[in-house]
Amino acid sequence: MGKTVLIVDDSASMRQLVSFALRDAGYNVVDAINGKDAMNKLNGTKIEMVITDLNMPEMDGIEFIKQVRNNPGYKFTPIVMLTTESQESKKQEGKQAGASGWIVKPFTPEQLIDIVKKFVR
Amino acid sequence: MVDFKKLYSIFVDEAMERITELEDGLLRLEKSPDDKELINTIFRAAHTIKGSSGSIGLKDISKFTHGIEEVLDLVRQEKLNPDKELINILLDATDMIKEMVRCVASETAFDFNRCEDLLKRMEEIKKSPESGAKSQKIKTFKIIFIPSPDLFKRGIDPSIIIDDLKNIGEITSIVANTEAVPILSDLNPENLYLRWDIQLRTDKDESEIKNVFEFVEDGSDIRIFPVNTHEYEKCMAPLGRMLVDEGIVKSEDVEDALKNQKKLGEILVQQGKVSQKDIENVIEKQRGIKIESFKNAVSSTIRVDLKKLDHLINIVGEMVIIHSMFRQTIRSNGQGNGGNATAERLDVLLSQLQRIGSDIQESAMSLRMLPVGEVFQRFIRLVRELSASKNKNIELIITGEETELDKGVLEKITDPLVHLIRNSIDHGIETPEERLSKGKPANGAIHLSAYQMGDSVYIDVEDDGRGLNKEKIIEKAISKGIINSAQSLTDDQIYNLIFLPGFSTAESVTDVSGRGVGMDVVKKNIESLNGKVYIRTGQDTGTTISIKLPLTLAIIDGLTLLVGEDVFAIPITSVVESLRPNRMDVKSLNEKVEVINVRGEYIPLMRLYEILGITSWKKDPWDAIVIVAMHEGRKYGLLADELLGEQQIVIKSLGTATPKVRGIAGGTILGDGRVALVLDVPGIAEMVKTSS
Repeated sequence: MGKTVLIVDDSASMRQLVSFALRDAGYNVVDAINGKDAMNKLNGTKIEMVITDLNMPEMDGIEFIKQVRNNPGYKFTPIVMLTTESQESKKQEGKQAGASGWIVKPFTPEQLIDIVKKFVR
Repeated sequence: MVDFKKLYSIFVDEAMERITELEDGLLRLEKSPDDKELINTIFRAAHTIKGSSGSIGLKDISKFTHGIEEVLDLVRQEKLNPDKELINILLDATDMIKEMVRCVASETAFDFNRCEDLLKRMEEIKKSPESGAKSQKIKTFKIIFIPSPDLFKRGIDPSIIIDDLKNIGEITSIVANTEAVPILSDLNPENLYLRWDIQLRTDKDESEIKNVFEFVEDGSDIRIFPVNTHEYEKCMAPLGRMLVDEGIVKSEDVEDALKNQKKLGEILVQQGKVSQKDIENVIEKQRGIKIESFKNAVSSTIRVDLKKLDHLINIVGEMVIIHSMFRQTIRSNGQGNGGNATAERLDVLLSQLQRIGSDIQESAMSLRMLPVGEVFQRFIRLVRELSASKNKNIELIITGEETELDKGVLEKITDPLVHLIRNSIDHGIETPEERLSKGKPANGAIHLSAYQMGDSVYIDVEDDGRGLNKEKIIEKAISKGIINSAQSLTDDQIYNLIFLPGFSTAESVTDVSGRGVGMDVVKKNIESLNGKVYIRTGQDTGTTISIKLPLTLAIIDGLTLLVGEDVFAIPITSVVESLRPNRMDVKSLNEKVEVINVRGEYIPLMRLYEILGITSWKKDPWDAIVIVAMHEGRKYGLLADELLGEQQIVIKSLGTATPKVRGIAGGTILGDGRVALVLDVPGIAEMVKTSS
């Protein structure tokens, strides 16, 4: 059975794109529209890895990463943030909060899969 | 004659930008000396300064920059190592160019002898017997990887690093060092206590090895040394590392200490090499704050809020991803995916692309939006000088500076605003004596305000002067032969007379108000922007001229309609309603003029197929549809075959090849690729007037 990756992004197209790429590579995908939604999804499913955007309404990526790290079940789960070149300070915040890595938008599906493979075995 | 002043100012702007690049690049080069792209960027910056200074005859700068360029070229060819000494010389040289450029800006002479010392130093360093060309030989690196103890808690498995290293070379030796693992009672099972000593044989350089550690470098101690060179010992030397190795201090403490190191600027100031002011200037430049920007209000370049740009970059990024998804989907077509699944996915991608397309359009349009403050600021000076010349004390109050307007609109609105303000100063606001006698404060005020309401931006020029004099306007209009009598005119219509060509209330020609080529031009300019002008005035309470402008020139909401087989669009802002009249409500006044009765109001009916010379099948208004359009407070009925719908349209000019067609404002391309002409309501209204 494939591993499950949670994609959190308020942009429908980003969720769709990441899902397509991951499903093609044989992963299961669960998606969420913001941190709050994602926290709910985490509680009901076994997730091997999280990919999250940083700027989102309701609960942004930074707060979400913090909450994931506080959840005993997901203390060690890899979390990759989606950032842009211009978000250096946000990236730092994300690292502080406990993110495992990041991928800079725009990226190709190949780059995304490379990163996911790095973290999920 | 060549305008050297202008050329110089363009050069100064550009050179300062390049100098910042140069400086920034050199500082980064010190940290990553192997970054070829970086060296190229620095080289290009120097090359550009050399080229542009040479082309406008600034020989000193060109000559000096040439020296820098030569050194950089050797670095580029890997014949020189960008070590600390070399970077220092180049930084000094950069400061020197800055000095020279500043002299150009302030039009002061520069003594080229000041460069001699630096030129000499550069010559010397060029000769220094540094290492020859580096080769792409396979090298061995020793890597010490002391991971951050909290790596597990960040969701990172350190073995991924070792796997990645295997991808870029051959691991010849790897030892997991367990020295740091504490006794069981002190052990936190969630912490990582291991460190690794690795030997890697690879043809990649150090920076690529560093990349592998990208995600783990925070809090980790990663040391990479080329083996078998004297650098190995050298790298071991830094005090901080020795102390950490000896267990005297923690690596975090060393890092903290390093963070407290003084910034380059502070050191340079202390050494008296540059002044605090120089540094502030450069920093200011970096932030893109230019005080001059207010002075030359609107130029051909545009300053964009970083947030807008970031947003655009973000969406464009998404588009790039969609593009690669398209490619992948099309490539994988037939590989088990099945035709249907592919089609479905393409469909989803397409709708995403469409959404992003409109996002990009919106975002790109917003780049054109500028705060009106850029223009408003200029008027402070204008009011100050003009009021002084008229011996009046007038204060300009500005509100809503942050209101944004399309750059094109802003450019075209500047002159009309100047005119309105001049009018207020000249005619509107009374002399201090007159004001006092009326019980008003001696100082007058002009309130310039901008605000957005719905799809429009309003700019009001309000003065607290004497107000428009109705009698005087009527008298003038009659004497100029504009009207015969004012009997049938409403107050509003009387005030609007001042916008007619040939009307000027100024009793004498003055510097300020000019020769009566005023208000009609103001109105024309504003109408050419699809804007409107309103007047509110009161005896001795003042006059407000209110300008209503569309948010942007290029994109409007349009109503599309069908006439015969052709599609037309009409700006929705001029549409009041659409209706299908009853047969009995349509009446002919004479051969040319038809009217329709809309709830008791008679409005002229224009048959679009007639005006446009098209064959239509629906000639009877009661079979077709009438669009009621409004222009200058009057309604016009336009007869079309069918109403198609509402959509955003981008108006494009028909070009110079097409003669100006009355009633047509331009063309647009519809969503389905068809071309539609955009109806010009003011033009059609004009046609009604001439036919009646």
